[in-house]
Amino acid sequence: MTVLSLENLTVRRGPCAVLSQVSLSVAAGECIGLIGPNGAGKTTLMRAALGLMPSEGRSSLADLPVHARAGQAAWLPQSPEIAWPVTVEHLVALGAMARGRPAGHPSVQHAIDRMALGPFRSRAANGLSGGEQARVLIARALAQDTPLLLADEPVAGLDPAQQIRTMRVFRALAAEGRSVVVSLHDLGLAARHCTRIIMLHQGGVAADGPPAQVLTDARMAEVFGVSLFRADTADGPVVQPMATVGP
Amino acid sequence: MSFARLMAGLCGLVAGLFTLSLVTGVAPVGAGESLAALVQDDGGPLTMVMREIRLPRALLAVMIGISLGLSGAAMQGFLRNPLAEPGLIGVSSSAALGAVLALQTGFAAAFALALPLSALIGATAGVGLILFLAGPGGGAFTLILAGIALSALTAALTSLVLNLSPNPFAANEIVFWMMGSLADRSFDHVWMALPVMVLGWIALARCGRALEALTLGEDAAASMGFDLARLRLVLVGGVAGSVGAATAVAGAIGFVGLVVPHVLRPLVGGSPSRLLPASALGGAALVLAADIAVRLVLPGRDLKLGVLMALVGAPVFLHLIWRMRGQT
Repeated sequence: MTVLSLENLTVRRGPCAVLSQVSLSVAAGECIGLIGPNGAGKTTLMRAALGLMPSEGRSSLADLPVHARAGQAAWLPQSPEIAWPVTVEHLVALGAMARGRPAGHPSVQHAIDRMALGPFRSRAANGLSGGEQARVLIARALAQDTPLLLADEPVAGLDPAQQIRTMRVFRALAAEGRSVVVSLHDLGLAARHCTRIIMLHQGGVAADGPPAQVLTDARMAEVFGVSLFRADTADGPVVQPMATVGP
Repeated sequence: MSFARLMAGLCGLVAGLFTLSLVTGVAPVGAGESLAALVQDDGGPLTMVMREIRLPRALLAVMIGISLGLSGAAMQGFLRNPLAEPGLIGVSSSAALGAVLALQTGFAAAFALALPLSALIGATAGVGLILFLAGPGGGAFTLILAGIALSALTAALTSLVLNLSPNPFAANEIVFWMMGSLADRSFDHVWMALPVMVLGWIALARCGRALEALTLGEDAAASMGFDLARLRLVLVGGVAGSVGAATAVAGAIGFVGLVVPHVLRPLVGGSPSRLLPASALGGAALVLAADIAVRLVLPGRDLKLGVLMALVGAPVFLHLIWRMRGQT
């Protein structure tokens, strides 16, 4: 079942197309890593797909009425914002509120448990550390309980253990039949935890497929300008950028 | 403190201050006698004082307090800034300009409600202009800039009217009107302001869920199914209706919309939607208390409500800022 389909999605800023003719679809049960160098169009692709910015072409999400989108996709923006000193529990419950559900809905408790936020539940969310706030915001998105989660660099502020735990949560969501599209700069996390990788370059899709097929030496050199160290371990593939190549 | 207990406490406070406002005045009459004259028409002057002077004054204090407190909480929630206040979008200054023009041209004397009506027209025109300037999107940034521009323009035009006024009495009247007061208001003012205010209150009360979502920023709120362009329209319309009508009948009264949400926010756990009703009641209590104070502090000297509010509000606000310094 397809949960998101994009057809020739194009976003222009002035005369420049920052996203050009992107067509792809996301099926239920996929954990997709969206990778690309800075300025490749990762955030623009996700925001345009959600209907949060003007675009040309089609997005099955953006075509929905505004109030109906909350039931289809949850969005975790890159720059976290918690404006007021609300408790962690209150903030996570906003995810349920977006679906018209009460704060006591099971999805709220489930999200708090999933992100191991039990000990923090009564604390002011904006008084937590950056990494803890990031986990609270992920829990908020999980509490929205949607078929699709789009997350823009959600693990950027997390320590290694929390990065791995978060990626495992995303993978578990996919195993439950939901879909996750997560933009990542850490190619190692993408290679190990994602079922599919979409590589963006200069506003277009450079490659799309299983990690092993996408992360080739030639593409890494062309798109990222780096060479990769690779190893297969019992726990999965290990990928690590090693050196810059080219000019 | 639980939210229900806080609301009950604020309701009790407003009821108590409302009663105190009714029994406060220059006439040397006991509280019980005053209230009895209000309830039972004895045909004497005390009933007339209670029903025609003190009751509308107390009612206006409640209505204006609700308007300013509610609008302040809504503006702070929308802009996600604890220093935002209803005047930020230029509604009060537009209303003031409308009133000033009415006073200067003599239109204010044409009929009883010509002055507040002109202020209301000024507020409506100001809001129309600000929405046009801010554009069709739902962002807060352009709204703030448009509000600053409109406030500066209307303040300049008000100064221009005062500057060029050939009539010193009109200029004097303008200056006193702009200080804000609830003295000498009647039920005509109540009935003129109430429908507009109630529409504003209803509009603002409907913004609660969207303001909750805005805690997470505009992008997240939009993805949660809230139409931010529509929210901005409803919110600006609500602030315009309630604050425009408040300014129209009482002149400019500052600090209520700024201080009340700020003080009550910790008591509602930071929740923007719970802050709306709490600030409405808190605003009513503050304006009632200030209007009682202007009658007790300098009886017979017509101390203006807006002046007292600024004299008390500014130091309180400075104290709050001083406390915030240690937390950030």
